[in-house]
Amino acid sequence: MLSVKISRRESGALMNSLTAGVVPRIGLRHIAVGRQNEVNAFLHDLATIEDGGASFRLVSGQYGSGKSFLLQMIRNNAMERNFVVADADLSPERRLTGTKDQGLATYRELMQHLSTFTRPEGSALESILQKWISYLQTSITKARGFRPGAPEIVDAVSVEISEVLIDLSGMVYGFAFSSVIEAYWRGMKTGNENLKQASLRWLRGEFTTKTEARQYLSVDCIIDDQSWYEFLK
Amino acid sequence: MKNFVDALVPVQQKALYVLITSENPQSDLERIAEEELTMPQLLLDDINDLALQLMGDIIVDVTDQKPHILDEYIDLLKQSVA
Repeated sequence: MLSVKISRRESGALMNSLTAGVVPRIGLRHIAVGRQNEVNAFLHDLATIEDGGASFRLVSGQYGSGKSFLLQMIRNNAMERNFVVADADLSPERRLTGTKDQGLATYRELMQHLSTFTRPEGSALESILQKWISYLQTSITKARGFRPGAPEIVDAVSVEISEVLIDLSGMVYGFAFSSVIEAYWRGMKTGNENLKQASLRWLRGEFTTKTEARQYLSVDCIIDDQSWYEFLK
Repeated sequence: MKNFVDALVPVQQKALYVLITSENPQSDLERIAEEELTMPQLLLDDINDLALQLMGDIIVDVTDQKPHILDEYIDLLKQSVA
């Protein structure tokens, strides 16, 4: 009989989730059966998105019919295809709109759950950010002939970040977004951990007042109930 | 495990060695990444990506502030790089 070895990480997650009666976020392939038609439909959607399209689906079913399980299966399938995935459960505290941080709570949940193939349990924001900046760094270093570690790289990449993101300046809050990304890079390369962490906190929507954000960053806005959807875009 | 270690490119092997030997690997990972014009988080992602392909699991826990090798693999890994 063919035996399958399940890693301690996955088996732990599976046992904990099943014991608690919730759907596991990783390792689903070891326990999933059936649902081939539904999964194929979603895989077709993913192919559409890969081609630059978009898709929206409503899934309805009775309590316990497997909606959440299906959602996690799709999530895992998408990550295996190198998608960045974000998911959030809506609740009275996490809504699409709200005036008492309920909208912001949804944004925070999405950012916390931002996942990739190698980070299936979330917290992929910094990795995604570094991947994007790394691409800029490599291009500019090659174009200008900098040696690795040259101090000129810090300023050159900062300028490049601003120039690439200038297209966002037409968007509401585009300038603030651009300056926070630049601050993250500068913080990382100059060993300024406070600046780096403040940039990540800002991007995750963790500053509660503009005053608090301004202590660390040159920004005049924060992500809140009114603006979170703009930042998601 | 040996196949996995052999399949890593030199910069990834350096990063893995730091993860095995250091309790605070962040600064060393940043230095290694800078020398190779990459980023620390990308180095860790690339190592985990290869581990997923060859062994079906990640080997570096990156959910913590301090990245570290998962307990399950640390002894095997030490034997493989010895």
